[in-house]
Amino acid sequence: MISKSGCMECGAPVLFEEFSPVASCPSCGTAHRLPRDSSGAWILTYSNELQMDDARERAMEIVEPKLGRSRRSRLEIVETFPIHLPVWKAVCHATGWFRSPEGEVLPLSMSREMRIPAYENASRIGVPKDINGSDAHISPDRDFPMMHVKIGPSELREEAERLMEEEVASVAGGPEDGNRVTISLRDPVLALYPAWIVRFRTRNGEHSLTIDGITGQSMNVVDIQVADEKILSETALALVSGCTVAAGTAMSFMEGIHGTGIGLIVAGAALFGITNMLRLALKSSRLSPKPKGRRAST
Amino acid sequence: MQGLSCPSCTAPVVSRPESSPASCARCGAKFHFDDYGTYVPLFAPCKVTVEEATENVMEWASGVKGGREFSRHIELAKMTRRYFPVFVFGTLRDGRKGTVVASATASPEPGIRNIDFSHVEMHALDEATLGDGEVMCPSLGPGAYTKLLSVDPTTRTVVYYPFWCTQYVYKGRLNTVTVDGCSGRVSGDLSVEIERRSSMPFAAAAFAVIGAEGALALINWIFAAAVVAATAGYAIYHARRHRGD
Repeated sequence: MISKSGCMECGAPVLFEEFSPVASCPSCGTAHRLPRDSSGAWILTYSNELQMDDARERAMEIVEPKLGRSRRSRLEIVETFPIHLPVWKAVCHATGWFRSPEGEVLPLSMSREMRIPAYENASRIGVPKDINGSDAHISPDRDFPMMHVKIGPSELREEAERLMEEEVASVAGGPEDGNRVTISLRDPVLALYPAWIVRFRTRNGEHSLTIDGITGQSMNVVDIQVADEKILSETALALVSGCTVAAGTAMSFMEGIHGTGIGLIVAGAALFGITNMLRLALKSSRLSPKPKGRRAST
Repeated sequence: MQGLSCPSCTAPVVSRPESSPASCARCGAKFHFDDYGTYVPLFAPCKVTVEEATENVMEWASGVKGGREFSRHIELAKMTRRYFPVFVFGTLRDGRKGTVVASATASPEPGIRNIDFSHVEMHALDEATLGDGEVMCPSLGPGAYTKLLSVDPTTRTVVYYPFWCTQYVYKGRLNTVTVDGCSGRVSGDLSVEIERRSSMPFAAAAFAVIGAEGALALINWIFAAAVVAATAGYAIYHARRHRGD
């Protein structure tokens, strides 16, 4: 089943079988047809499940934890608008043969379902994490705010072939290794996926967050410089250690040098010194380069 | 779809025109039409010059924390003036009239839906008076927002509103900025990264100073405690101020 829809006449669910563009409403018999674009690809339009207020609320829930307390009070949503994002879905097949490291000729058959965003600035706006066909609402109209389709059917083919070639090369090597692979694209579908773009302002600037119009999840990462909470913990450690040393110093000056005073001074200094050394050691181990992973073998 | 009538003289339009705009057979007025009726598109004249728009963008970029340095280094692309079509829907909620603004194009440009029409003069659209600005064509009908924004599409007005548009590159990302052509308000992505210095030197100084202040107990232990407390308070204030909050 590609999708289901509400009947335009009576609202009963209409099920479209896979690769069958026509279906009849089981309740009133009205015929429904999937729209297609000029290349013959099916077009599936997903209904927006979120209202504007829900999208704003979700945006606040996502952004507020990233901000410090004083920045939260300056968080202001300036704009919220709906948009449909065109995303190509297709199945890419790679068939042929490849040469193993031992020189043996082996058959290759790979299939991948690909999701390729057809709009500009996909890295900034985000891409839907999951698109499945079962909840799309098929609309014969194209009257909804949809981003311009930048990648058409011919560019889709090139892009899908490029991605598949990379994947085949990572597994079985490229043509320079003597491999022969044919890549084909099947069943391209243009999914029009709903989203809300929420623009908000903080003390450090203005940002936009894309909210999935069905799941309410964030589709992009907002580039906000988060508050450096580490400063507070470092300062707290310095204060506790310093106060311990101060108490030891006071005792030493008032009552003369003895064990308790010296002990407090040493304890305070040790607390400060050892904790910061451990912190630096952990930080440098996180920053050191990781060893490269092995290439996947067939 | 209901019968069409001329928005100027209300004469019925006998046969659906082939293309938009069309002319009224009775009064000759030009009008546009869609599935929800006839309308005369309006436009708002641009009152902000390109120099003012550029200045506003720089001021906007400087206005955020750390932005002064940032605005000195960004390079803006050439400003272009564009007229974006927007729908202005009339609403009636709880007996109060209001308006909802929605874009008639699917452009994701910032700010083109956040328009305050309360002080904007609008005139009937005459493309000759728009000057050399680029006029964006509507790609949506008002029905696109019926369910999403709970508006009645028949209450719509179409307004061509001016914006100055430009772009800049920051941290390898292309950012779009728009300047409202009537109010001068700036909208766009702006994410200034403030350089964070290590807090270790300050923490070490606070530790050393507070530790040494214990010696003040020779004078008076209450005085020493007060000085330690004041130093600790200042250290906390400093840390909160510099954590990038």
